[in-house]
Amino acid sequence: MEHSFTKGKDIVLNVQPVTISIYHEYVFEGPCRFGEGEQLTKEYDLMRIAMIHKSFVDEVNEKLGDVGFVNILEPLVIKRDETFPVTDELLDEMGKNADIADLYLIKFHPFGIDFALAFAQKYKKPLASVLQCCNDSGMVASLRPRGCEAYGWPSWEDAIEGMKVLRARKAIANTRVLCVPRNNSNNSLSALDSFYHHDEVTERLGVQFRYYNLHEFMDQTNNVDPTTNPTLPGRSCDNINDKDEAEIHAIVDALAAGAAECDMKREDIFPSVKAHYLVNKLLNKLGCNAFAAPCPDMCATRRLNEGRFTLCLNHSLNNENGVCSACEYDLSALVSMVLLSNLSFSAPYMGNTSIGKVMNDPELEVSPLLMRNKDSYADAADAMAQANNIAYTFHATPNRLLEGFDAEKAPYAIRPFAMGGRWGATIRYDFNRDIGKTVTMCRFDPLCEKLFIARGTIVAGIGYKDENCTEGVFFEVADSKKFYECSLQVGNHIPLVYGDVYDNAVDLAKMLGLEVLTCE
Amino acid sequence: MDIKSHVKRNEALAREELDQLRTQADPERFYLRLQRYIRLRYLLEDDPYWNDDIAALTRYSIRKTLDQAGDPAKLSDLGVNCAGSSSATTKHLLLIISLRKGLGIDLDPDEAACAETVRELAALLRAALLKAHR
Repeated sequence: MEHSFTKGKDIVLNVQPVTISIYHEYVFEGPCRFGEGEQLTKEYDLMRIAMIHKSFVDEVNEKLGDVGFVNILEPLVIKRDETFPVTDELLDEMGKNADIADLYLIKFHPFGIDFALAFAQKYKKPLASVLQCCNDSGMVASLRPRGCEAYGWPSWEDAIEGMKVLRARKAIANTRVLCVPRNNSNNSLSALDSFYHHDEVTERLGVQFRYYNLHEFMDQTNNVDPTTNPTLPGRSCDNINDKDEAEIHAIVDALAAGAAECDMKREDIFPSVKAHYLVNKLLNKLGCNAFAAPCPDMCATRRLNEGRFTLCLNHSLNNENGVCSACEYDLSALVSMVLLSNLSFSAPYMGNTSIGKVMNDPELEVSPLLMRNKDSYADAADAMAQANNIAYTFHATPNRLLEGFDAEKAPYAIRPFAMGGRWGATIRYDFNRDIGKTVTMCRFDPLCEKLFIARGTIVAGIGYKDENCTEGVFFEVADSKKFYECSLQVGNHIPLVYGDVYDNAVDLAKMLGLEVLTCE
Repeated sequence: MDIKSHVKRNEALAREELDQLRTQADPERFYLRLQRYIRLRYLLEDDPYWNDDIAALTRYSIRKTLDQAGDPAKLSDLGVNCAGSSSATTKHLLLIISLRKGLGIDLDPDEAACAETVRELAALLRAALLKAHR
C-alpha cells in the first residue's frame, strides 16, 4: 500500500548555510584592521567575502552533499559594515527560510557572533559551526547560557554525527502515533510502565497521539457494507473491501512464498495481513506514522479469537516499512523504537526484557516461556555457558530488516501465535545468525524524564523453530546487574536496533533534556 | 635587473596591454591579451608555465618571486590583516582591482571574485567593457 504520510526515516534535516561577514566602508587601520593600499578598500572586502562564501559553500556541498538525510538549503550571505549593525532587516534576511530550516550552519568572516546570537534569540533555531578557530567556542558559549541552542563540531565527521542526532530529534517530533486503545487510552493493563501522561510527552518530544476506538477498528476488519458496522451504524467507514482483499492475498502469497519455512495455511495468514492492511489504511487516513495497540486488552474481548489474528505480523511489517509499531500499547517502547530506528536507519525490535546471567553466574535464568521448548533452551544455554552479563529480549515481532532499511531482507519462517487454532501469523527470525553483532537498546521512563541506553553483543537466539511468543535474542552487556537496576527505573520492554548508535543516543537524550541511565 | 626595476618595467608594459584590451573586440584575442597582462603583473612574462586557474597561477607566481628573492622566511602565506587572507588571495584580488581600475569599468564583486579561470575573468571583463561603452 502506498503511504501518504511521511515516515520518520524519510525525514531530512534542512541545513541552512550562512556566511556572516563584515566589510569596511572606509579605508583605515586600527587594532583589528591593518593592511595596505587596496587591501583596505570596500571593493577588496566585498570580493574577499564572495571568495570566503563560495569556498564555504563548496566545502558544505563536498562534505554534506552525499549525506542522504541532509538537505542543503540555498546558502545565504549576510554582509554588514564595520559598525556591526544588527537590524531586523538583516536578521530576517538570514531567517528567510526559517519556516523549513532545521539548522543554521555558520561561517564567520571574520566577526559575527553578536549577529548569530541576535538571530538565535529571534528565531529560536539551532546554530552550528564546524571548526573555525575561536569562533566555535565563542559562539556556543555565548548562545547556550542565554538559552539558545548551538553546536560546535571539531570535524565534518563529527558534524555529520551531530546532524544525524538532530535529524532523529526532528523525526521524533514528527511522530504521530495511531493509538488503538480499549478501556484506557493512557495505558494498557500489561504496560503500566509506559508513558501515562501523553501531553507531557508531546510537550517534551513533539510526539502526538491520535486515539482510535478498538471496537471501531475491529469492525472494519470485516469486508461488509461499510455503513453497517455495529459501532458506527450508518457511517461510511474504511472496511476492508474486495479490492483490498486482492492486495492482501498478494501480500500473503509473497510472504508464504518468500519464507524459508511456512508452517501456516495461507487462509490462516490472511486475517493477520488483513489487520495490517486496515492499520495502514487508517494510518493514511489519520496522517499517522507509528502504531500501538493493547494486545492483552484486545485479547480479552475475544474478538481477536473471532477474527483469527494477532497484531504480531502487523508490527513486524510496519517496522520493516519504517512505521514503528509497538506491542501491548507500550508507548514508551514505541517512542524508544522511533528514537533508535531514526539513528540506525534500520527496523527496530521490541520485547519482554530481562537479565539471564550476572558476572560469574553459572546458571542461565530466563522466562519459563523460553524454557518450554527444551531443545531450543538447551541450545541457547549451551551457547552462553561461558558468557557473563547476559540480558535478553523476546517477542514474536522480529523483522527481516534488522540490518537496515536498505538491506536485503533476511531469511525467515512463518509460524502461528495461536498454537491450537494455528492462526496469528508471526515472523520467525533466527538470531543465531547474528552472534557477535552489536545491538543498541533504549527505553524512556514512564515520566519521559530519563532514557536508559545500553549496548550489547548478541550471544544467542531462541525460538526460531518454535511458535507463539517464544522467540528472542540474548546479548552480553557491560554489567547486567546495572542493566537490571536501570530497567527497574524505565520498565520492561527495552527495544533494540542492530548496530552501535549508543553515542548518538546519549547525545540525543542530552539534547532532549533527559537524564541518561547506562549500564556501562 | 633587480626585482624593483623588473616590477616597474612590467607595470608600464601592463598599462600598454590595458590600452589594447579596451579596444579588443575578438574574444580569443582579448583572452590572449589578458594572459599577457597577467604574465606581466605576475612577473612571468618569460616563464613557459601557464595555468588558467587563477588561484594556481597566483600561487606559482608568489612561489617564484619568493624563490628569486632568496628569503625563505618570507614564504609565510598569511596576509597581514584581521581576516587572515593568504598572500595568494590578496594578490588575486589586487589583480582584479587593477584590471577594474585600469579598464575603468564596474565589476560585480561576487562575480569577479568567483571567476576561477582567466577565461571566465576575460568574459566578465569583456561584458563590463561592452556595458561601459554602450
